[in-house]
Amino acid sequence: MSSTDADYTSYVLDHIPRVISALLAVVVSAVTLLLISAPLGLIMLVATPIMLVTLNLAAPLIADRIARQQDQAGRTTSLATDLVTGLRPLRGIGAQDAAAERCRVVSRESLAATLSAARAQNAYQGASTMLSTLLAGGIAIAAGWFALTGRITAGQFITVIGSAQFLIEPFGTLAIVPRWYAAARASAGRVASVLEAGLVLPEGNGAEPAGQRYDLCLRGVRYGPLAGLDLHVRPGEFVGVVAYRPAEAEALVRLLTVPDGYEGDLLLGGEPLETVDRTRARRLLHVEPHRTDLFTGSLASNVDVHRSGNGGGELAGVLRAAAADAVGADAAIDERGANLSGGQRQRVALARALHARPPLLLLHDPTTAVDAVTEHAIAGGIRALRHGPDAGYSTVVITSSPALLATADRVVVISDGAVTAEGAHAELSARDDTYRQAILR
Amino acid sequence: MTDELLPVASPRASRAWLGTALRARKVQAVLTLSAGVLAATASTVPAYALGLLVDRIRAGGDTGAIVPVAVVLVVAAVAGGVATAIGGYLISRLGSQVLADLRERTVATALRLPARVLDRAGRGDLLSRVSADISAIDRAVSDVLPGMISAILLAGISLAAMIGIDWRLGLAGAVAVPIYAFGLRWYLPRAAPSYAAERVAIAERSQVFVESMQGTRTVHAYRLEDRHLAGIEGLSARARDISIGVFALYTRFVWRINRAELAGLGSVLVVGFLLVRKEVVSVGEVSAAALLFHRLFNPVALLMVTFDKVQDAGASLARLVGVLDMAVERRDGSTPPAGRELVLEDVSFSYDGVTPVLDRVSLRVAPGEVVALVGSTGAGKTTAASLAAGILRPGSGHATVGGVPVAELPADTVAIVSQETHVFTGPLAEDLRLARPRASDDEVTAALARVGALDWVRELPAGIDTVVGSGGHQLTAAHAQQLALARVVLLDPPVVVLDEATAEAGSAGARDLEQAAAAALAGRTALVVAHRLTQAASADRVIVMEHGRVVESGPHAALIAEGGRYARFWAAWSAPNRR
Repeated sequence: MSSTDADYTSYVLDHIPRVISALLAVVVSAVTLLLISAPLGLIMLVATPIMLVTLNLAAPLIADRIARQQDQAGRTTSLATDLVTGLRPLRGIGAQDAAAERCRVVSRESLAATLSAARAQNAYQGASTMLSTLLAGGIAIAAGWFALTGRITAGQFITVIGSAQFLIEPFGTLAIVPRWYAAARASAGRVASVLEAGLVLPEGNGAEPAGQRYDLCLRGVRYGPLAGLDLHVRPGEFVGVVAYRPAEAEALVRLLTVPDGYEGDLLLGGEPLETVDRTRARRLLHVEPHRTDLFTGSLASNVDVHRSGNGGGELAGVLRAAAADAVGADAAIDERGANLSGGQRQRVALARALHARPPLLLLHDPTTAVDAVTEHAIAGGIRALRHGPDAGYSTVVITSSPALLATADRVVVISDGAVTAEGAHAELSARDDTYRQAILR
Repeated sequence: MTDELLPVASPRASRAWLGTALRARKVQAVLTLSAGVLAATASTVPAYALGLLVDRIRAGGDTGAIVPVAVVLVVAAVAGGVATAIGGYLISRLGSQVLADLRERTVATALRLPARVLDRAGRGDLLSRVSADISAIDRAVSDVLPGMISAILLAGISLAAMIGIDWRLGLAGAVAVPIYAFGLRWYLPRAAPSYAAERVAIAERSQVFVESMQGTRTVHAYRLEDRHLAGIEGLSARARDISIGVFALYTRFVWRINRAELAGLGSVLVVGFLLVRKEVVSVGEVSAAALLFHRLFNPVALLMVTFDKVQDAGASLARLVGVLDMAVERRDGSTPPAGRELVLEDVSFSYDGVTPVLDRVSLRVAPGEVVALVGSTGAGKTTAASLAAGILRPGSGHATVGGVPVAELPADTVAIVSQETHVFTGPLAEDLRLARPRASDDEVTAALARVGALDWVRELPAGIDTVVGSGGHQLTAAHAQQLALARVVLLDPPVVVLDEATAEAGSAGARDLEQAAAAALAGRTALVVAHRLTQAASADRVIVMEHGRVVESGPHAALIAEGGRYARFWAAWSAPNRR
């Protein structure tokens, strides 16, 4: 849905007063004319709409060409934007000339489309000028005949030719109304289709997971590439997950985000995840997506999303744990975090996840844009913050970073949709060649 | 970083540019103007003829008097219609041809701006110029300009015709001119900030909306739906209130236009009445003047309400002409290098002229050698890489390939792949062809195969013809980086600089990327900025930088044995592995 559809729908309100004033103008003029001379009034009231409707027959053709023109203009603009956005890579391979040439080709196509639309529009404009002048002239000649033969006075003649000139505008407005309405209607349809669409997330039916310390248990789960996955995360555990194929890691993340359409058991504290009240489920099990989304504001507002505001100490603590303290808590964050580097964005998102203190936290490749030394610090930070003597949180990290895996209590390896190996990082890297290669180093 | 904006042309410079553009199309411009004048004249003739008819009627003439008037009306209608069509088309054509030239030249200039100019000005400004400003002019040229020019011509010719009937009638009509002008003077200073505020409010609304939609997973994960909805709602309400205010302003302006119309037509009728009573002019002539004046209502009102759009277009033009006049950097030197050795000799560089980023750095990459640059953040690795690739120019010292300064080399001698990847929108093959426009499908396929990308490319919906980039098939960061390497293979330069080319790839793709990079570098002289030390370990030689200087240089094993800085890096980096 285009974001302008709501605007187009609301334009109906804008059209109503115009239609009313056009109707009023037509009625007043019509009455005047009919009082002066019934035949003249009738000629005008019948002939003007006929002419406008005839001219309107060309409207779809023109609209078509204008749409093509706007489409081409849009293509040109997005090409220019695209090329300038990719300026650095372009410059890196000395491709500025090739890019400028590509822009020129599209610009010429756009020019051709503009000229084609201009031809249609101006031909219409010319025809419309000619027909409306002929119509007003024809009525003037008829009225002149009536005046010369003494059926109306000179003053009435002037009134008639004035009205003939005037009436074209309100009639013109009325003639376009169906098209306005159709456009608004189409937009309204698209808006309605969004409003009527189903919700993505299951609502849950209020099942309450048992206990104070929650565990996550997957038994024989089949979902996309996952073919019989068993995974049990006990309270307080720090589990590293290595998925040899990225699609399997993504499936696991997706399943835990939107538990829908899977086979097998997926239990949070003993209750099927989709039956737990949605808000509560998301509080208990937090899934931090790999693609980081930051929002306009400050670093603090991005990390402390619920504005708990409980002390700078806690904020500073999670920033330190996520190695994001260098950014500075007061730093402004631009739209989508555009003013931070990829690594900074990742660390801020990690700090945010840590700040939320969910009993169960799933992180998906949280340190891909972070150098190895910092990765090491982050692994220690997560351990200290979530797995201290009395913290008792559970953390699952899907990653291939040796630093994180080495810090985890145990590592679970997923291959071909199921768990194929399990053990401590050191032990796995000592005995498993595939594992050693998969974690890169 | 964005304190230094790109230049904006002075009004005089913009006018001069426009004058030059029009003079280049002198014949076309004259034809356009003639057609416009003809159309305007033809549309004033009927009112004149009808005025004559009024006098005949009052004189009690016979019915035959109607025939010449009828003939004139028909001829004027046909001539007016044809001239309107041709004139309108010619105006559109002239405008859009000038625009197309402007558009192409602006983009071509933008693409050749020196890297440092762009870094200082920020890319946002340039992007808004090549998109928003060009669109503003485009809209003005296709929607506003033809109507505006014909309205001006019509108003001029109608007033002249009224003066031709009697100068006092012309003067009476001209009463409206200052009222229109005052209306415009009242409106424009209010309109510009109101519309700007409306645009800002709408942009903020869509920014928050788009941000929330794109970050929808995060919004869900943190249960922030209510917060974000409230934000969107608040900004929507603000945009709505501002829009209503803007509309109120607009209706008040229309009321001022109506006042001018009333005053003008009223004074034409009153003056006409007085003149008729003195028997200076006939009733028919006054009728003609009134009809002429009344005909102007719509065109002039259109002129008034679109005036600010033309002003906007003028401002946009100044911003584009400002770009056109900037100094560009051409890299089409034709001195072929005598060899493939990359040398930085005593190179110093500073971004701000005060703090040196590189301090007399000398390094040498032998033909076919792969050298890795290692160092902590801020050591100057990226700057050294940019200098080697000719993206930056050394403050002092020399950067050469085969003895020729990098800036004077043909563009396809040194390629750099930076961390900033971009997938160009369009078919994937066209993305690669930016490196070599005339590459055949087979060559494109071969380049993809070389960097190990062919497998996943084949799995795309339409193979190498799949539309990728924004709005097309989304590629992962690792795949985008592989495309960047494939472009290098297609370009086939003797020297390649890789700057952190695998750092952002994500763990899953990093290994593929390192293999792809190795394949792309095979047989070339290469300088690789390495963040993952595996890249350094597999290079022929490692150069360690610290605070803008080279501190160590040698093969991986030798540096480890030396136990210096590099050895410490390596130990810290590989520590988690050995626990």
